[in-house]
Amino acid sequence: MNYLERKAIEGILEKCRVTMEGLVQTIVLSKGKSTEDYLLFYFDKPEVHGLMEEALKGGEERARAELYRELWKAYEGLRERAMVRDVQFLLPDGTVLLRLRTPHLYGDKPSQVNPVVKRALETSLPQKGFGTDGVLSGYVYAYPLKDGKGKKLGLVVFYVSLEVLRSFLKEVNPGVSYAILLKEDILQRVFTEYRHYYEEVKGLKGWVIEDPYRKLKDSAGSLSQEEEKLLRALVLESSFTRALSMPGNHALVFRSQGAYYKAIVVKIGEGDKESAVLVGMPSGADIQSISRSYTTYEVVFSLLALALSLYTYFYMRGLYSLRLSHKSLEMVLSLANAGVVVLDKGGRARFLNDTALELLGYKKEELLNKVFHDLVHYHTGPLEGCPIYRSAMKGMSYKGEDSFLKRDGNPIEVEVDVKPIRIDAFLEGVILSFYDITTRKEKEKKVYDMATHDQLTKLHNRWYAEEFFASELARAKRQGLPLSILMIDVDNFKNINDTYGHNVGDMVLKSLAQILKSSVRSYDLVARWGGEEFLILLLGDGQEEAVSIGERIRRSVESLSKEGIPKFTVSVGVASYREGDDINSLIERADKALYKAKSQGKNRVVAGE
Amino acid sequence: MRGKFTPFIVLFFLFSSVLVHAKQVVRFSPLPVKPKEELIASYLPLLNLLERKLGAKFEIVYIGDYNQLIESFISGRTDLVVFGPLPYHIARKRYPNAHPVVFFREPDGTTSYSCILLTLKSGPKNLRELKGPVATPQRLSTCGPFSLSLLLSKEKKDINKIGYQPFETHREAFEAMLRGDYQAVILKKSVAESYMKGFPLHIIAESPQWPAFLLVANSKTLKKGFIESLRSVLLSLSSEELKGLAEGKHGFAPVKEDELEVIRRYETHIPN
Repeated sequence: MNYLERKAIEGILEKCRVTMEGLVQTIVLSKGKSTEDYLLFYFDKPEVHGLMEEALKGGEERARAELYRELWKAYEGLRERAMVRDVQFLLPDGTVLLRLRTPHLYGDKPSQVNPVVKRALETSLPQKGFGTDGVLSGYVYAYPLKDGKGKKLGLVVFYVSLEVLRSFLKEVNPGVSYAILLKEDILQRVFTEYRHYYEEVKGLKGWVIEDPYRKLKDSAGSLSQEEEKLLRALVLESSFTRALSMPGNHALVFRSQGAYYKAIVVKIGEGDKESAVLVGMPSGADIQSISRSYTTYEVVFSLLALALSLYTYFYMRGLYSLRLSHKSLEMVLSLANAGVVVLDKGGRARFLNDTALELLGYKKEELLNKVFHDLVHYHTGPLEGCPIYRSAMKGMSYKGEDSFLKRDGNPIEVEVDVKPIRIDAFLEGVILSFYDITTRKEKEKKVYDMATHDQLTKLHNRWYAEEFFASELARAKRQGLPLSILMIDVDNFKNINDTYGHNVGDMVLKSLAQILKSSVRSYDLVARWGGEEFLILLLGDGQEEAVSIGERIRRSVESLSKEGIPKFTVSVGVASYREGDDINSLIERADKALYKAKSQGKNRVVAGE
Repeated sequence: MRGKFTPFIVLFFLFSSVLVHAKQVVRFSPLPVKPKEELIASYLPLLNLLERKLGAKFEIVYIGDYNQLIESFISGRTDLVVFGPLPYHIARKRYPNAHPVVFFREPDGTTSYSCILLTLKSGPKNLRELKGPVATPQRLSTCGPFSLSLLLSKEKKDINKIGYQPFETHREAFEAMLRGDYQAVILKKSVAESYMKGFPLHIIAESPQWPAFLLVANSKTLKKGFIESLRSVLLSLSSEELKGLAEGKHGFAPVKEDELEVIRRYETHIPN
């Protein structure tokens, strides 16, 4: 393999590794936000606090039974919808009071084997990481539980199946095989009666797969035949076993039944305790074609060397276009996978490869010798402002993301690389290479949307709202603009859930979300703040306007009549920006106003003092 | 002439001895009182031990339903099963080739157990206060509707009026009661005792002592000599050998047929 070929392959692998790392991070973060919502919505409640208190005073038996009775339904719902494998309640000393999944197992101390739980107990702060619940493995999210006075009541620990990771990745990259491998020492932290669910990875000592035959429906999932076949080939590669033992994430190439594949190895765990790996095995067809094209390049290069002598003769005869095409052809052949266009100093296309024509949907004669920008480069603004055109004129390099216009009028997102062509220091033109990144951009948007939106109501989630709030507040301060927030809470929501079931509860929240969206302008922010609580950020509105909008929302909810949804009301707390306010003081004031609305009888709007 | 046929004669005897010494395969089905994987894992040490001692191969055939377990045994698809006293009684009535081998001793070393009716301390205090419904293990479990019906009859209550729901395992029945879906649950006493340590429960009724679980051989598919060897091995296991087991770790005892008659006395309570 020559240097250029190796560099090209390394570049592809690096992109794959970074993309997969990003996707894994996104899902971990997103699931963390979700479990925070579950905590607030289902588990961090006065009734639960009361039972934890009772357990601390010696009433563990009753507390355990009552907690199970109160919460098993919520847990079953999370298990079905959100791949939450288990929810556990721990006392402040780390003893398990209750496992909602297996209530007959209690009294042990998972902190002795689970670093996430241990850290949460020590720091009294939310923690996340990888771990086992004694049965199966997954992501662990541990939240300290405190009463209204800040007294420590223990922990609520969520165990989320690793299958959530595989499902998300398969949704973003269908057709790619994934496997999750665990270090064998995890078996020491699994209850004896569940150890038989783990099987050694054939050909890979020291690693196991969890529940390969999917005996438990919420395990990480069995491997398909294709995945098994690829894994069998992969474990034979010494570069893979090296990647497993070296720190950090890696990407490599391997072959199975004559075809190329990539293997992206992303470690799961924390710090030096990397207890599991996620292995993605996408097709390596791009790697294969690079190898082929470089072989072709080497043959052609030899021919070119022979032709060089002829080139000198033709140059002496002053054939300008042949010099240009010889030089550009040399560069074009090194970029066979990208669309390649050679532009002269006037921006006219002198050469286009097949990939470029295919991506743009044009025939060669439709683009050759035409000003490329006029037909293809999709942007408003003058030609002189176009970075590609400027490169062509001034002989500068340029790299960036842009939009091209296809022949059918549809835009495609591209990654563009422009390099000047100089012969004997004279600028002869530029060579423009581009890749279609439309799919990647769509996936990035999808990933971003998933991370910033609440899946039930399709509103922005709290994470996004906090970021947006911070920047808008800074702008309001700078420009002296009014800004208000509404905190909206569904009245008696627990009763709705208990009476009609969680499905109806979800429909109530979705209906409210629609009302909220239609009650404000498109540039105002509407977000699901947590559970049955929503936040609206009104830009440019003072208190009077904010109260009026709040009242409008309240009336719309009160008068809502929809089949399948019981009548419900909301309480609204309003707070408007004052000199010296920050996010916390604004939210606190809105919260207090909301509390006042609730205590004054609910179904009303109260402005903060 | 003799010389010509000698290789064939040698081959014949070799082949016959291979056939004679081919390993017997015994199809074994345990009583499905636990989830499948737990159940299989709990019998593996015993079966491995028997394979070594008897030179036979034991194959686990998991059957999750008591009724299907009985049918499979009667139809000759399984050779060796673990039955509770009620399933044994039902199978034996229809199939005289159900041959009891040994009792599995209970944790207290005895060869009998009872079923208890449990409620949460916040629930009914006694049978009289019980309005139902009740969660039970499987329909043909000794601690299922059979024992429940017997207990309710003491207070002249009709099981069909009280209502009951069978669950696949004892654990599922217990969790259903704990969730508040059922007023009470009836369980094998040794299983219930492990739950009583962690939950506020009390016993509102207890059944008579029933005979312990049995290992039952299909004398139509297994030879008498093999059954005798099996019995002999199990009754002579040392305490060291028993320590290495999961199911069977409390030991085994010979079966007395008259001990099994107690079920017949209450036959009217067997569900249809």
